Amino acid sequence: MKQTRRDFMKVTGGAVTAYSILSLTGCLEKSSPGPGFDGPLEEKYFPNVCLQCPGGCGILVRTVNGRAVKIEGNPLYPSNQGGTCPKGQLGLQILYDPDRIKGPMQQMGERGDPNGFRPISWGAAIDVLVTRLREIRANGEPHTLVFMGGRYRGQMHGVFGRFLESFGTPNDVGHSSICEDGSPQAHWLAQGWKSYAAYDWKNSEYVICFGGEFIEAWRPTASLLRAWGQMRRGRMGTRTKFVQVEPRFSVTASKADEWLPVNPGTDAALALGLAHVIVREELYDKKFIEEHGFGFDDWTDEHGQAHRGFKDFVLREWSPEKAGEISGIPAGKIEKIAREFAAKAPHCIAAGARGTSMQSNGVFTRFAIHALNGLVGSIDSKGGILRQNGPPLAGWPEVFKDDTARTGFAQGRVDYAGTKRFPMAKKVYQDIADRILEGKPYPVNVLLCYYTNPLFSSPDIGRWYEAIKKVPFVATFSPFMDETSAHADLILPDSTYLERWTDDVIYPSLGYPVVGLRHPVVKPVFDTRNATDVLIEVARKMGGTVGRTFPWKDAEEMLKSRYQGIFEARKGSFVADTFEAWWEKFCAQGVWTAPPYPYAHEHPDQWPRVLVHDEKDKAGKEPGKFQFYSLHLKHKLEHLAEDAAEETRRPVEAEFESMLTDLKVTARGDELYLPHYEPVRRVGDSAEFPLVFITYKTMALAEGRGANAPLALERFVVQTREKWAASAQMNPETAARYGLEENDEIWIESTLGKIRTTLKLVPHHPDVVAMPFGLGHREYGRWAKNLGVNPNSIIVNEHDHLGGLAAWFSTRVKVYKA
Amino acid sequence: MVKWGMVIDLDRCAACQACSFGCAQENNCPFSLAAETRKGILMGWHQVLTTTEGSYPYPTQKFLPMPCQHCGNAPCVRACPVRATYKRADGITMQDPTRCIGCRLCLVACPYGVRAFNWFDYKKRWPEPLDQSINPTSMPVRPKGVAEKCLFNFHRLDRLKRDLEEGTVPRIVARSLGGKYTPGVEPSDEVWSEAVDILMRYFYYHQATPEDFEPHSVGYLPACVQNCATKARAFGDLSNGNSLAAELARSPRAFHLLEEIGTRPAVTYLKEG
Amino acid sequence: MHNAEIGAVDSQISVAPLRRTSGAFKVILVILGVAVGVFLATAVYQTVRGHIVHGVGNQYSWGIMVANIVNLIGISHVGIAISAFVRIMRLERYKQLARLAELVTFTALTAAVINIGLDVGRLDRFVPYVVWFGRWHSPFVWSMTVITAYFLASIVYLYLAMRSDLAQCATLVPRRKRFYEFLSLGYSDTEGERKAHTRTIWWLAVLIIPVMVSVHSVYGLIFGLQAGRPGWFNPFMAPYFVLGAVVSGFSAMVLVVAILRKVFRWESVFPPYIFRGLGTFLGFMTLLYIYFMLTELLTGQYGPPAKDWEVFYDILHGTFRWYSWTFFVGGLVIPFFLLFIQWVRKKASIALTVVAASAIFVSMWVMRALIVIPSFYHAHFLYSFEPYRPTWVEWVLVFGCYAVAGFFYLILCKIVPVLELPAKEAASGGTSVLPTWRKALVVITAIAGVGLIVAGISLHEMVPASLIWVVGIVVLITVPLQICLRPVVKSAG
Repeated sequence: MKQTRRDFMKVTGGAVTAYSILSLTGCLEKSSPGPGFDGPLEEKYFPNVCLQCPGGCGILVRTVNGRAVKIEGNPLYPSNQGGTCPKGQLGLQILYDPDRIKGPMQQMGERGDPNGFRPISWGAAIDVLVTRLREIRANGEPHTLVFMGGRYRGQMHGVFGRFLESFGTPNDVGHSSICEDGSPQAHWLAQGWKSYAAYDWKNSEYVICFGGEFIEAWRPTASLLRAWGQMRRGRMGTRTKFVQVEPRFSVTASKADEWLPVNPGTDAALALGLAHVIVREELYDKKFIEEHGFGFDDWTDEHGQAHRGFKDFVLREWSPEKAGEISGIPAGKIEKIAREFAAKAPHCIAAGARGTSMQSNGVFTRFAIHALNGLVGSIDSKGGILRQNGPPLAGWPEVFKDDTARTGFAQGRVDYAGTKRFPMAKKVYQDIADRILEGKPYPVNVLLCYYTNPLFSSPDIGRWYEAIKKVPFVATFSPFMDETSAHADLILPDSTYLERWTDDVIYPSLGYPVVGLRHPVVKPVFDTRNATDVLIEVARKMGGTVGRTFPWKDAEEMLKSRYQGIFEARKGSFVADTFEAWWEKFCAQGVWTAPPYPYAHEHPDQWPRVLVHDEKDKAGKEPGKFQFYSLHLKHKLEHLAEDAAEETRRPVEAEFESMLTDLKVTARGDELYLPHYEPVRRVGDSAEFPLVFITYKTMALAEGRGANAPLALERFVVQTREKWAASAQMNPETAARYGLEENDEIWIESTLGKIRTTLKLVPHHPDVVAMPFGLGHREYGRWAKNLGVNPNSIIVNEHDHLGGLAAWFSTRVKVYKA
Repeated sequence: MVKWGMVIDLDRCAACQACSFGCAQENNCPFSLAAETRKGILMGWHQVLTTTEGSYPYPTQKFLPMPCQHCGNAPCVRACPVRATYKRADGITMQDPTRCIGCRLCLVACPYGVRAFNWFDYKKRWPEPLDQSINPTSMPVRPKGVAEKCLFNFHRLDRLKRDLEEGTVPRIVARSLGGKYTPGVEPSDEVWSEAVDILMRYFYYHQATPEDFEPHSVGYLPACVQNCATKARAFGDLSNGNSLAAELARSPRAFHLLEEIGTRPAVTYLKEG
Repeated sequence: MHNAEIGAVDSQISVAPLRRTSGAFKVILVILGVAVGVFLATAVYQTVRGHIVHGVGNQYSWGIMVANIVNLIGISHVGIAISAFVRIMRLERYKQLARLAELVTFTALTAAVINIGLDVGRLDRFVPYVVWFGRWHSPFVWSMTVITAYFLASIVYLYLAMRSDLAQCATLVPRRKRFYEFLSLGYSDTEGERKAHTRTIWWLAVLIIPVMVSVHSVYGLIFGLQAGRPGWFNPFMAPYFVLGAVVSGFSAMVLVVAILRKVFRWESVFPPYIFRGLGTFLGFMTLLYIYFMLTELLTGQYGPPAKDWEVFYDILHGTFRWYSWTFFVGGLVIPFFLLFIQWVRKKASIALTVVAASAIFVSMWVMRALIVIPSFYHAHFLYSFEPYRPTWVEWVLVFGCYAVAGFFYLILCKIVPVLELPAKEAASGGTSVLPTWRKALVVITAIAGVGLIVAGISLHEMVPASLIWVVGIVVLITVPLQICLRPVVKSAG
C-alpha cells in the first residue's frame, strides 16, 4: 500500500516538474529582449530625396544587407534639416508595396478589364508605344498626342518637354491647374514672374496665412514644419504670431494664435479690409512704394488718360465694416490684425495657398492678399516673401524638329490655355476630359500619363470615365495600378524614387538654390524602369530628329551633363577640381546648396530679378515695379482682344467686353486691374444646397498617391482620430440643425450626385462641410482599394477662367441622414 | 548614474505624427487593420492624442504626443508578476517579450495607456515583399500573447555605447568629448550621456555641414526625436543638469502628465504659447 | 421536526450515489459533457488564433473573462466557510452541508484557475513563470501564493475529514473495495486516528479561515491597488470583495444543494429549514453587500478626481445604467426582501429560496462585470475605440467554466461519499501512535515550511524567491497529513 502511495506522488510530482522545467528552460537561456544584432549585418546609409510629395526633402535611407529598413531626414539638406514629415517615413511602404505593378503590362481585353492585362517584356512594351507614336506622326497629327504629367521633379519635366517638342505636340499638360496655380499668377500680376514664391519664414515675425494648411498639406511640408518650430521657439525672445484665415478649423487653425473663420471664398474682401486700415492709418511702407511701387496712387498713362490707384480704391470702397460684412470677420478684429501686421513690417508675410487661390475668384483673391506684402514692403525683405533662385545648371542641348514636328508644335493647345478663354493659364488639366469628349479643338489620339491620375484627382471624375474610352491609345508610367492605369492599354511602370536616378531642384521655399540627387538605394524590387530611361529609349527607337534630341544613353548621363554647370560655377556648399570628384561628393552628400539668399532690400541689384519689367509696360521704368495696378494683366487682355478683333473684324471694345463676359469677371475699368474682390461663384441653388463643400489633404497622405501605405491609413486623420476612414466633418450646431449627430451615416449630395460617408463633428465655419481627400480609390492595392469615398466624384468642374484654375470650393451640397 | 528622459515642446509640435510613423518603422510595430482599430488595438508604441473643447467661433484643440513616460515609479513594473517589465539602471522601463505571460496587468495598470498587446502572431502582418522593410537592428517582431511598449530605442543608445567602445562614433562626438574619451575602453556613464547630448544639440541647433557630418550619426538618438522636423523633442540624461533635455525640463513651461498620481514620468512636456 | 436523526443519516442513503446511477444523473452528465466539449474546442481555437478572437483590445484589455474569474474565486469561498463554521461552531444540523460545500470550493477553484489560464496570453508560461520569477510586490503573485495555499489546504482538509468515510465505503461498496482502500490510505479507525483527525481538522478549520479571507482580499487588491485606473483605486476593495465572495458563494451553495437534493432524492437529508437557514444568512449578507455598494457608489458620486466621478456616473446614469439598476434592484434588493420575509414569517420555501439565490447569483456576476469594465471607458487618456462587445468565444469560455465545474462536481459525487456517514459506535481495536522520529519529522517539517516561507519573503528581490515560499507552503501543508497518516498496530484478538 505504501508502495502505491509513493508511486502516486511520483507520477503527479513528475508531471508538474516536467511541465515547469520545459517552459522555464525556454526563457532562462534568452531572458533578455535580444536587440537582434546577432548575425553579420552590413549597414549602409544612402542619401536620397523624398518623393512622397513634390516638396523634395533630403533623406538618408538606412539599408541592412541590401534591404532598406529605415528612412531618416538628411541633416545636410537645408529645407528639412534632418527632419521628415510622416509621409517621408512611409517611403518603405511605397517601395515594398506588395501591390505595385510588377512589370510592363499590355491590356489584351476590353479597356479597363482587370483580368485583361498581360505582362510583356520591356522591349515589346516600348515597341508597342513607338509604333503608336510613329503612326500619328505618319498621319501628320503629332499634336494629337497629349501628355499629362504629375510629380516630375528636377530634369524630368525638361526631358519630357524636349520629347514632346521634338515629337511635335504643344500638349504638355502639367497638373498645377488643379493644384495651386493661382499663387504664381498673382505673383505675375504684381511682380511679373509666374511661379511659387519662397518665404523667409524663419525670420518672419507675423504671418497671416490665407487658406494654406501650413502644418498639414502645404509645401514643402517638412520645410514648413521646420519653419513652424523655428517661428514658435527657434529664436530668443521672438515668437512669430500666426494668424490662420480659413473656414475649416484645421490643425493649423487650432495651432495658430488666431483663427479667422472667414466666409468661404471671401478672403479678398478681408485682405482689402486689412489694406484699407493699413492705408488709412498710413502704416504702409512709403519708401518701398515710392521706389518700387506702381499704381498705388492715381496715375495718368501716356495717352493722358487718368487711372485710379489702389490707395483711392481701398480707401473709398473697402472700409473694415464692409469687409467684415462680406467676410464675416468683425471690423474691430480686422483693424487689430491690420495694425499688428503692419507693426512688424517688413518682417511679416501675407501668404495664401490653395484654399484661396483655387476658387472661382482665385487669381484676384491672391492678388489682393499679395498686395498686402507690397503695402508693408515685405517684398524680398528679411522675413518677407522672396523669389526662389534656380541652380546654375548647364543649358540643354538643342531640340531638333522636322517639319511634322514644327507644324504640330505650332498648333494651338488642346486645352485652350493662354487663349482668350483662359488668358493667364499655362495649362488647363481639368478640362482635358471635356476636350476629349467634344473632340475639339481636335481629337486626342494618344494619351500619356506620368505619375498623375486624372481618373481620381480631377473634379467631376465621372467625365473622365467617359472620356478615357474615347482615346484610342492610353499609356501610363505609373508604379501603381491607379485608376488611370487600370483603364490604359499599356503600362510602363516607373521605379520608385528609392530605385532610380533622378535629381530634384528644390520646391520654392528657401530662396537660395538647392538641388538634391536620387540614386538607387536598392535594386528595383520589381521589373520596373526609370521613366526617363524609358523615354530616352523610346526617342532613340523613334530615331530621326526625335532621336537626335536625346544625346544621352540614360538618366544618369543626362543628369551629369546638366550638373556640369554647377560644377563649373565653382561655388556653393562644395566645389571640386574635376567634375568626377564633384559628382562623387554630390552622390555622397545627396545635396548641393548655395546660401545665402541675397535680399533685394540689401542687394539693390536684385530688384530686376524680383520685380520683372514687362517690356510691353510703357509706363514702367527700369527696373520693374510692384504693380498694385497690374499692367501685366492689362496688356495681356488688351492684346488678346486685339487679336480676336483682327479675326472677327469686330471693334476691339466689343471683343474685350465679350471676352470679360466669357471670363465671368464682374469688375470693369481700372478696378479690373486692381486687387479687388470678385464675388465667388458656386454651382447649385443655395436654397436647395445650403452648404459649401470643401476638401483638404491630411498630413498622412499627399493627394491620392501612395494611398496603399497601411501605416498612413491607420492614422489617417489626426484631428478626429480616425483610422482607416475619412469622414465628412461639420459644425455641431449646423449638424444639429439638420438633425444629424456624430458618427451618423450621411449622404452628401451636389448637383452631380451623392456620396455616402459618416459624419464627424468639428467646430468648422457653420456653412461648410469639410472632407479629407485621398481615400476612395477603386484600384491601387489591397489596402487602399474601395476604402472610403472620393469626394471628387461630386465636385463640379467650375473655373477661375482668367487663370484656368479648377475652382475646387465652388460646389454647393446638402447633407442628410442615410 | 544616467537617467534618460525626453522633453516634448507642445509649442513647436505641429501634430504631424512623424514621430508615430518613425517609431513604428524603427521598432517593427505592426499596423492594425480597420476592424482591430475599432477595438482600440493600435500596435504603435507612440500615438498622438487629440482633445477638442469649446465651440465655434472660439474652439480649442490640443494634440498630445504620447510615448511611454518611463515613470520613475512605474505602475506597470509594480503590477508585472514575472518581472517581464522592469527598470533598467538608466531609467528605461524595459519589456521582455520572452518573459511576459500575457496577463495584461501592465496594460491595465498603465495610466497613460501606452502599452500594446500581441493579440495574435503579428509576424504574418507584413506580406511579401513588405516584410523586407522589417528592421533587423531593433526589437524583432514580438511573439503572440505578450505585451510590448516604447523602449526609448534602447538599442540605439546601447549601439552608441558599443560604438564609443569600438571607437566608431561620429567625428563630432569624438572631437567634442575630447580628453574624456578613449576608444577601446568601455565608456563611463558620463561619457555615454554626454555623447548623446552632443548629438542632440548638434541636430537641435545646427545645420549640418559636409565637413563634420557623417550619415551614421542619425542612427543613435531615438527615432521619434531624430525624425521630428519641428525639433519639438529633446532627449538626454536628466541626471546631467547640463544636458539639453535637463535644461529644457527646467523651463517654466514644463509639466508632467498625471503628476498627481505619483508616477514621476521621465517625459516632460512644455506648454503651448 | 425530526431533530433526532440530524447528522445521523442512514448510511444507505449516503452511499447510494456510489452504488447506482439514476437516469436523471446520466442525462445531466451528458449535457454537461457536451458543454465541456464545446468549451475545450473553443479553448483550443483561441490558443491557435490568439486573443484577437476576444472582444477586448489595448484600451480595454480586460473583459468578462476577468469578471468571471473574480466570480468563480468568490464561489470557491463558501466551501471552507461553511464547513469550517460548522466545525468550529458545532452546527450539527448543517453538518451534511459541509462536504458538499468543500467540493464546491474544490471545483470552483479549479475552474477559476483554468479560466485564468485561458485569459493570459501565454498558457505555456503561465504557472511556472509566476512561481519561478514571481515579483513580490505584484498582487498577481500574492494571489498565486494564497490560492496555492488555499487550494492545498482545502484539499487536505477535505481529505482528512473524509478519510474515515472512505474507509467505511470500502466495506459499504464492495465492488470498489480496493479503490477505497487505496484512497483511505490505510485508515483503520483506531482510537488514536480518530482523535488525531478531529483535532487536526479543527485546527485546519481555524487556520484556513484567514487564508480564505486573504484569497479574496488579494483579488480585491488586484483592482484596488491600480492607482492609474479611475474607479478602482480605493482601500475598500478588499473587504468589499470578500463580502461579495460570501454572497455569491452562498447563493451558489443554495443552488447546488437544491440540485443534488433532486438528483439524489435527498429530501430527507436536506429538509426545507436547511434552505431557510442558508437563505436567511444569504439574505443578510446581501443586505450588507448592498450597503457596501451604496457606500462606494455614493463616494464615487462626490469623487474628485474627475475621472472616478465619470466612472460612477456612467454606472448609475450613463452607458451601464440599465445593467446596474436592473440587477441591483432585481438581483439584490428584491431577493433580499424575499429572504427577509421568509425569515420573519418563520416559513421555509425551497422554491422561494432557490429563486432568490439564483437571482443573486446572476446579479453578483454582473456586479463583478460592472467593477471591471466601466473603468476602461474613462481611462485618463482616451484613445479612440468603439464600446466593448464580448465575442462568442468569451461567452463560451465564461459559461464553459461552470459546465466544467459542474461536470467535475458530479464526477466527484460518484467517487467520494458527499454525505458524511454515521460514525461507527466503537473504534476498531488496535493502537496507532506516531513514533518519535515521526513526531520529530513533523516538527522539522513545520519549521522547514515556515523557514522557507520566511526565507522566500526575505529574499524577495532574488529569483526564484517566490518558488521558495511556495515550496514552504507546500511543505507546511504536509504537516496535518503526517500527523494523521500513522502506522497501525493491530491488537491481537
